[in-house]
Amino acid sequence: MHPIERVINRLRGTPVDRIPYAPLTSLYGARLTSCPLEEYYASPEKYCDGQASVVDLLEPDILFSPFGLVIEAEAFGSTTAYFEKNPPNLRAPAVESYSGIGSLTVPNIDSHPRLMYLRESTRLLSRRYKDRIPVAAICNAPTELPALIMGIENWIDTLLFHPEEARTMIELTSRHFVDFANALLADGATCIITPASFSNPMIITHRIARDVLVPTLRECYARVKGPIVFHHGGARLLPFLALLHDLPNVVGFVLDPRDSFSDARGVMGGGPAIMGNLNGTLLVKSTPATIAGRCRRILEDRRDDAKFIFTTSNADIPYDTPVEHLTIIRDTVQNFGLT
Amino acid sequence: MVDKDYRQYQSQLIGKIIDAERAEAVAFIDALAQEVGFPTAISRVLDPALIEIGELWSREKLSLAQGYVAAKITEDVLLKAVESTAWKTETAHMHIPVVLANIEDDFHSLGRKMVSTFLQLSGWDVCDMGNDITAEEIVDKAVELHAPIIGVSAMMYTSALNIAKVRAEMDRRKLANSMKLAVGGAIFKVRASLVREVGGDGTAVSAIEAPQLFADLLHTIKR
Repeated sequence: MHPIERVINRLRGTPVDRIPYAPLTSLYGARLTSCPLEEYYASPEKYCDGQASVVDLLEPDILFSPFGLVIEAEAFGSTTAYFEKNPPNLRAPAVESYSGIGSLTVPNIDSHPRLMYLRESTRLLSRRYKDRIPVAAICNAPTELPALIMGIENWIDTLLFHPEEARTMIELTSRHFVDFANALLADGATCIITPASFSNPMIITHRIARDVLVPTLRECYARVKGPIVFHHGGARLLPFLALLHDLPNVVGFVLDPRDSFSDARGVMGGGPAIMGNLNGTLLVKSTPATIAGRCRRILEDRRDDAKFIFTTSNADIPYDTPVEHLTIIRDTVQNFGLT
Repeated sequence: MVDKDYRQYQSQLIGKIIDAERAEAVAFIDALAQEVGFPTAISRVLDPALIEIGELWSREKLSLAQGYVAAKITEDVLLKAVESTAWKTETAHMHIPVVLANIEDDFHSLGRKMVSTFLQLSGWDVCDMGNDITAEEIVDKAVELHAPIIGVSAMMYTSALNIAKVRAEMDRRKLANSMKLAVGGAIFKVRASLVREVGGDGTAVSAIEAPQLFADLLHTIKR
């Protein structure tokens, strides 16, 4: 069974030869090819070479487009810090407060170099692994992108105290999100993944999540012409799944490592797939035996869940994670019998 | 005014913070301060309310945004208080300097700014160095100001590891007995062992609880 059949069958709840798995190894490809990160996050070819090394080593069932959320914000004018071993991060936001929102414009998704990097990486990956491995394109949710355009603090402040300007910002990022997500799908992405912690009342108030942010997601997701996977974005998802589980076009949820699968299933019923929830960011300091044990516990827990996909949760797997900490995941998942 | 009245004020203030009613909360404390003075309004109403908010936050009963609202209300009230005569004459400030920074490679300032606000409310003299500060710069500043405590923040695991450089720099200068290292940020909430890994002397589960952590650390310094 090819990974793409395995993943599609799982999303449909039909039989598979084994549980599909997807470690978040967007960054790790750079380590495997010894590619400097500033080059890796600028050259679609280098990114694609890195992911090819991931395929050779780990045989994942899903590949990811660059997990550099701030790259999308660069197109709005934010600046980025690049590191030797960490993914790019926000250095300075495009605007410093709600008063600057009026000066922002939606970038051209067909010409802005940073958006073209993300699109071309998706296109190259899709072309290389067409009909074999699904490519998940990572895209900021319209409710998250403002935090990278104006900083977390200013976005919270705007949502709380400047509702008019918050609405203007959401209109802007919504327009961008729908066009960009559809472009990534047209470029060959199998699905869109949207990390979305701001629509989660762990971050924002329940009222704003319910009345402003979730309706925005509902409206935007309905206009995306393909499947969407909702990523927990670093915040616990389970307590708020009831708000989110019926979002249009969402075929799966990546849970936080602290979330319970069975409780999540209880909230969602048999609908969307559940994904997760090995903590990818902590693999670097663990041991192969501990990791194998954690993997087995997760697999056992979901043995009878026909719509479960094993993934790492949280952010990218760290650059310095020993190779054997990842190959043990591959071996454990691939050798886990479903019967 | 008897204690029972203050408890009612505290409850009302907590309600306003939870509902993110910043302007109403500040006006509420301001009105009370006109009657009893800012030192009393803060010590009998705002401080206890913040302790309760901190407890709710640490149990994940409140959102980051509500913690942010608490910090903004505190900031607004402090601004009004420092202009009042009573604050200048009645409040015992510690005048103990502390240095805060986000470690090298970390650009997530929200938590650090909130910690700064709550420390100032508790009377600390805060030197906030900002984002992406190297270990050497942080320790240099702490030595220059004779700060007994350094507070260093990081959001991500990979940048948090850079905090170990602060510990190494403190050790290299033989400051372990005279200076303490408080660490914080989202990653420390999900990985408690990281405090020890990076050489931290302690952490707080929320920004509101930072003043207690700093007070505790101060008591551990050998004088």
